[in-house]
Amino acid sequence: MSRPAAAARRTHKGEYIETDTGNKISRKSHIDGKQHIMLGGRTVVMAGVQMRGDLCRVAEKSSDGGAEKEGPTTAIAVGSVDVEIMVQRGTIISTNSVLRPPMRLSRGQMTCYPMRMGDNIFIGPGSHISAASISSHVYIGANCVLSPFCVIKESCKILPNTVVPPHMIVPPGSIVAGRPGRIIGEVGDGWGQGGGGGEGEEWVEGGDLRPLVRSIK
Amino acid sequence: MASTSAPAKKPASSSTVPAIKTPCRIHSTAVIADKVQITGPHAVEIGENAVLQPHVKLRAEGGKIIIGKNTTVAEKAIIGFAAGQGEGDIVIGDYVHIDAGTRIEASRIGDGSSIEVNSVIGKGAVVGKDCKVTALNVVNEGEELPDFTVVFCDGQRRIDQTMKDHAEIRTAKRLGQERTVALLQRLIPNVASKWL
Amino acid sequence: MAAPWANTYYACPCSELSAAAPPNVSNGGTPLELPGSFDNGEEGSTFDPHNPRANYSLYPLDNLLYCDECDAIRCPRCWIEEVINWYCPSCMFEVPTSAIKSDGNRCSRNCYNCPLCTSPLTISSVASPRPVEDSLKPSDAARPQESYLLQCQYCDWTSLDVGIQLDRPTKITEQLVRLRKSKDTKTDPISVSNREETFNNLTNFYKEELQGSTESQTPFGNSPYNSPANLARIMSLYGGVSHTALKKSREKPQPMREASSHSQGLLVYTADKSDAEEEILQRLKELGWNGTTTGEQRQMAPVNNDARFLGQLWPVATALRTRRGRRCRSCRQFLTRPDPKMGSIRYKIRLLALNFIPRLSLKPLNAIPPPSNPAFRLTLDDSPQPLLQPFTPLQYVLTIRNPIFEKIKVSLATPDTTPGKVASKVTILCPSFDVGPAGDIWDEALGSSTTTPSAANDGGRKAAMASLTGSTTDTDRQPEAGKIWEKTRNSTSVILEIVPGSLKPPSRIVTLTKQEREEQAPRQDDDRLEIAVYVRVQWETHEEGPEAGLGKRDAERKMPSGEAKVAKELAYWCVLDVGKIADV
Repeated sequence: MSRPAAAARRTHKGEYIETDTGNKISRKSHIDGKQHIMLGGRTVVMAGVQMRGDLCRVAEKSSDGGAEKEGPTTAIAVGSVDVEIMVQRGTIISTNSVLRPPMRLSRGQMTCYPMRMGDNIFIGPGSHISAASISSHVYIGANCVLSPFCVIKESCKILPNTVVPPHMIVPPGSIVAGRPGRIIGEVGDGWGQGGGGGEGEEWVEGGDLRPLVRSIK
Repeated sequence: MASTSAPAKKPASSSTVPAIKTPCRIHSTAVIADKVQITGPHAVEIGENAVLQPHVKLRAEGGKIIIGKNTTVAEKAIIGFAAGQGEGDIVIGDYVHIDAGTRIEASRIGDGSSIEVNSVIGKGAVVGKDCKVTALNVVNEGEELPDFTVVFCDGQRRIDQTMKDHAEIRTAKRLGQERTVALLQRLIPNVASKWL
Repeated sequence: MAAPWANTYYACPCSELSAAAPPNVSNGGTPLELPGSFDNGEEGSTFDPHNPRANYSLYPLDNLLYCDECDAIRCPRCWIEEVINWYCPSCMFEVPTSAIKSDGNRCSRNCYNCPLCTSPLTISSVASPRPVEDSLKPSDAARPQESYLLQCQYCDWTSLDVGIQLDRPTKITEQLVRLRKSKDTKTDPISVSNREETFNNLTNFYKEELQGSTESQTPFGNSPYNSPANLARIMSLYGGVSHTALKKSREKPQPMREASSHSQGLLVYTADKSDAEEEILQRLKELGWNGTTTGEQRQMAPVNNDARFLGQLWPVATALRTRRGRRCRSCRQFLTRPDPKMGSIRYKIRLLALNFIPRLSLKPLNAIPPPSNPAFRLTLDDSPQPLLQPFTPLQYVLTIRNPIFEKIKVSLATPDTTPGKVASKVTILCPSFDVGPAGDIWDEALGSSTTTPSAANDGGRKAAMASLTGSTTDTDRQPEAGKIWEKTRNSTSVILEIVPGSLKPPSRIVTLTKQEREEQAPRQDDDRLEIAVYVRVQWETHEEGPEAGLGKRDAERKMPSGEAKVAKELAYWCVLDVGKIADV
């Protein structure tokens, strides 16, 4: 997979740097620890987004990182390092959001845990994401806070200004709102369906975000 | 600590920085990440083992900023007022955890408190010891939070009885904060020298 | 709204309110005489989106289902749900139905929620403080001195607040039940078991009493009609009252005894707990309002129903959730049926309305130029919808997309002035037209991936591009009455002319009475301009092939004429949200 800054196709001096796999990274985004971040392709990282790839798991000297198939090609000096932020295809991270891998005490040591995200996730502007994992087709509204180690399963909708409490597991198809977030309902059975109409406005919440990714320039 | 006196490369971040260099006193064990902004004419003191993560803004425009021992400040937190917006010193105690995107204008934050994501501590507010302000909450201007207060839900306040009654929970929390500092010290490259 | 048609709501025609068809369209299939409008002669026949009850029949399209047997839209009011599995949302563990019946609808494993704020509790360990004299004993040192507590990571509530400390990080429920029991016996003079026993005594006593009193009345103790109520009903029905029973019934019924002693289950309330009450009052004074529980906290779990102070709140076991299938209320076939395997998010059956009914979407004809940076268009707050100016004619493009494989004939109708206080004028320039069939799913997929913005024949795309770039290539075209604006393979767009009304009531010379003024006072959302459009769709289908979306219809249904075309019709109200009207 590609790293954000490497292999950038600088065709014109637009706002976004487009990588070979179709990732679009805003020049105004702040990305730390690039080598620990994996973007699956067709991912948009907008202006002001902060990604803390530097908060990586510092492995003990056992060197079990060999199992990581798609791991970073350039290992850093600290030792074997896992990918900290893994984003699959078609995900959009809107302006001014923060992605920060969660950390907690494990065997007496504070340890960062990787954050995994699926396909077609929309993260609204100004959101703070510290989740352990976010599954595919999740729509996160503006100014949400996903506290450390929360898990968002497939096809969920997080309404704006929600604080998902730490360690909360949101089951598939839930609508979450409030401070602290509670499950207030379920998404319709047609969640994410019906996009791709070919009208220039063909993306839907929780649906395939490729058209939207394409429209962002 | 390398003694490079003048910050050689900070054109990107310091375009708005006025000519006066902020007088900084940074403990040798403190970690200041790259892309931290420290502005203003007043003094900034950073205690031992304090960690400032990337894109933290310290704005000593209206008064001194003192950050205590083992305190961590996460990315995009803003401590201090913008120029002309207010006056007064800001004292942040030891073992304080300041999370991402917070805006701190308080006059004092007590030891062991944690201020979580995107919350706002208004001008002149005093936050007691071992308090917790949960995400997206606001402590009003001039408000005083007694020790062990938890601000949660939509601005509800309560006294954390456990924290108050059990010293071992407090020490456990301090220990956790120390471990966090230890981890961040390993992970975040220190450019504190640039501010000395 | 984020989704392109999120501002469109569909009314399921299952209720009277939403089923009412405008008079001109309801009878016969003739197109409307007046283009796009009709005289609203009959009051109440149009759908008023501002009606307080309208909310209950309007749904976003993705929440609606479609029954292909009944050929009708199905909404939560006209489907029935069937539980497929029960699971704990926290540990995602499936709970068998038998366990639900015996153990109730809460997770019996280690999932608990904070009684204060409902966040999940985590188990954390603390080194328990050792009393000084204990540490001197050598035997104590061998034992691992760690205790566990439940902790809310959000509001920092811990189980220590109610004095719960656990010995093990597993089998939380077991430990809690034990602790609860010991606590109850401590605080309550009448222990739990005692209380249960008393209650059993009481129920037994009354059961006996009831039996005793009825048995003496009925001479049919051994008959199959052993339920006295049943028997009495049958007796009164057929009038075959026996002489003795008749006599008995004339007699005064024997008075039933009441429980009078402890052995019979009577527990006399003694008012000697006055100091306990004093204590409660004292604590109330100390803790104040903030120290008491809220109704919500008490209702959250039976265990907290009696909790008066925050310090009495017990951790709440996580309530289970269900995965449900949905059946059509009239034909009972499954409309949706998720894969019964837990963890799977697939559906075995899913008949979505959006695969069957035409979708409407509305956008301004001359789009407002987008903000300089298109990336920021996604932030709603940056570009709030501009307010609509009253009495300024606006033109909108209403696009109807056809999801089915047949060509459809669409007739639109709308009242020429919107019902409600704010009367806006609405005209559909071309109220009836055809929409082409949806292609194969593959065509669509290929089409959307290969079409480039330069596809010139794709009018919609061009318009979208025009709106993106702010170019004015399309402005020379004038909308004409009776003409379709643009047409693509499976969508047709027509022009809608809207003249928003004024929020202020027309000025009058006569002063209003108080009641009239109250009626005139603007209510919430009166300034939202919402247009109710009655959509009638007609199409013909071969009975042989699947005619709709995903082809879920079973082709078994036999019609006498196999090759004949069958005419189908569907009609529903649809509410288009145009925006807010400026108050000037």
